[in-house]
Amino acid sequence: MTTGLLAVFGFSGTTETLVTLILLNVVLAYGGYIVVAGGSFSLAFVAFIGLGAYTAAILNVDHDIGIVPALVLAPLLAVAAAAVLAKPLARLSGIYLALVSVAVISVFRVLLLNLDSLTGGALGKIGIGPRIGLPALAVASSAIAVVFWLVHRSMIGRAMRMVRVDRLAASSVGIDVSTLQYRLFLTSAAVGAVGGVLRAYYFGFVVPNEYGFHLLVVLLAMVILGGVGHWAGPIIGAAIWTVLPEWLRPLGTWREVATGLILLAIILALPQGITGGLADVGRRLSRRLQFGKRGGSRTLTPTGPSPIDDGQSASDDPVGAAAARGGR
Amino acid sequence: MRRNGTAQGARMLQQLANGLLIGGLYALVAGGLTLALGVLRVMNMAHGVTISIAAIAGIQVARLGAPFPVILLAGAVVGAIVGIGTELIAFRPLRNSRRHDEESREFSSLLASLALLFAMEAAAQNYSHHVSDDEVLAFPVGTFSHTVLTVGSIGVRSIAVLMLGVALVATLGGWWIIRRTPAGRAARALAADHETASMLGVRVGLYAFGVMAAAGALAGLAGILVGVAFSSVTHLTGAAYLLRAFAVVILGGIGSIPGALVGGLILGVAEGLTVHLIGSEWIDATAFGLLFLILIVRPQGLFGEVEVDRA
Repeated sequence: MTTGLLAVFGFSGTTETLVTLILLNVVLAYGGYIVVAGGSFSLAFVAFIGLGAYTAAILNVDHDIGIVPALVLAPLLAVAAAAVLAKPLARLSGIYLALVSVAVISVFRVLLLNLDSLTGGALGKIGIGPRIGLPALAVASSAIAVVFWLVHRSMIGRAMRMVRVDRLAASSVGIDVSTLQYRLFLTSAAVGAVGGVLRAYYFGFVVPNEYGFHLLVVLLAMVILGGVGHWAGPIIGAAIWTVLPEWLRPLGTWREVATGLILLAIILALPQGITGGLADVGRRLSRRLQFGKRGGSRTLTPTGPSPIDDGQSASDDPVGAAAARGGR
Repeated sequence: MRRNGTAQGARMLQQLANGLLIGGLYALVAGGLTLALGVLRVMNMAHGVTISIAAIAGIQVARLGAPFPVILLAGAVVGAIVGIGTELIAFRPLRNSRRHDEESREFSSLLASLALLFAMEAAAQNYSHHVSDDEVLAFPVGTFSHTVLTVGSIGVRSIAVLMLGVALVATLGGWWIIRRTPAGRAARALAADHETASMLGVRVGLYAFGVMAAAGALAGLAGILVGVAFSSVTHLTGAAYLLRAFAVVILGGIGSIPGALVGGLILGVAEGLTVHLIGSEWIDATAFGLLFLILIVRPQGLFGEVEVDRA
């Protein structure tokens, strides 16, 4: 039945593969989401995904150790690596941080290529198994989504949003911005490593080029597409970015061109991503419905339930708060 | 034993010379990137693919039998057009948008140009697939008369000398324009503060086109030189230079053209040393080793101003 439903959206017989890929990408996208949502532009999470994947591959192929120990060991290794990296990275912000974290990814790739005896060099490692499929990934991605939903509603989630929207204001109300971002960075490393283990067990092999700049572009696209202001952003972003090539299949070899231009249009038109755009529409609708009952300024108007908003007040919402500051 | 030592020394000198010459190329690429970042506060991720596109276009011009200077000019023009296109469809809408706030604009520019990179890289791949089955293009033999110049025990390729020459002329010329002409003064005013500059009569939109065209032209020149020097060109040719240019921009100091020149040469020489002392497989890590070093020692870069935190 789901197959029939999905067929309406233009899928072919590869529906299960597609859904599985979306679930995997949801986990990976959360690894990137958590740092960007906390107002930091560190993009090094891709290196931690690679670390997780290679940890899983080396344990499995060389030492015949299964997925469960890998799921424990990989996040620990990633958190340790992140703790070391965090110090120099903490000195940077904004665009510097973005560039340097891209450099971290490049260095990691060079290491994968050159530490042959450990990583298998350019050929990587093949024969990871037993492979995992839809059920395992469904469990993993749901578990992570639930965690992020809870975080979004908690004090930490509020603090993250505030730091992202206005760092200065956040520290003035007592949020320790650098500690928060440090913890988010470590969490992102752990989530990324778990995603990497799952990715290695899904594909059954690891090669250096699968964990480089290209993966960064893809995951960043998912995070931005979904929007960093809402916990469901990575789910929506991963789903759309994974399905989009299927929808654009009639364009043949030009579909990647179209994908890029669509992404550009979304970045320009919806800086808060699709979830942000939907929340905005929802807010406008509810304001229109409540007009006359409640006047007052835009930011003080409580928002009604919208298709995507979790019903929190507008004051911890990025769009509303940016408007309140007169952001241009 | 002693002879062995001299041979070692000669080989090292050769690697240093190679590094210095390729460093010119890095400076050329980084010059455009740092110009856009310094004046317009945009991080152009599509700068690398501009190199590839100019090289592919240059190959088509060369196939028509054009002489080398014309090809070089064509590369610069195509690069400038790509730069203007990037400004028009990615950066200009961003700058004029009310939805994007000031703080996140640099990061938004990175994302917007990343999306554009995705589209342009695919388009370039399609085009090269259309022209050549294996998507690899090359300048026709005889486009550039390659010779090897020998100085003492060192042999250098003429194209490499040309690279360094073009880089020196372009970066020093650009520096002169920025420092000594009214247009350069306006650009510096823009770099300091967009809003104030526009109130004082600097036409931001116009200068943005000029800066992006100049940055694109530098990338275009680099594309032709890369294509001629390394004989094969694909849609991914420019990507490796973009990553190195990041390192050079930070090494030299964001927005500093002399910084890009010196940084590029330093990176080239450091890569030469890496090849000689450690091994050629670590060459790609050199840029980033240098990057981490400068961030620890002097985060604002060699020529950067002391005030770093503008994020």
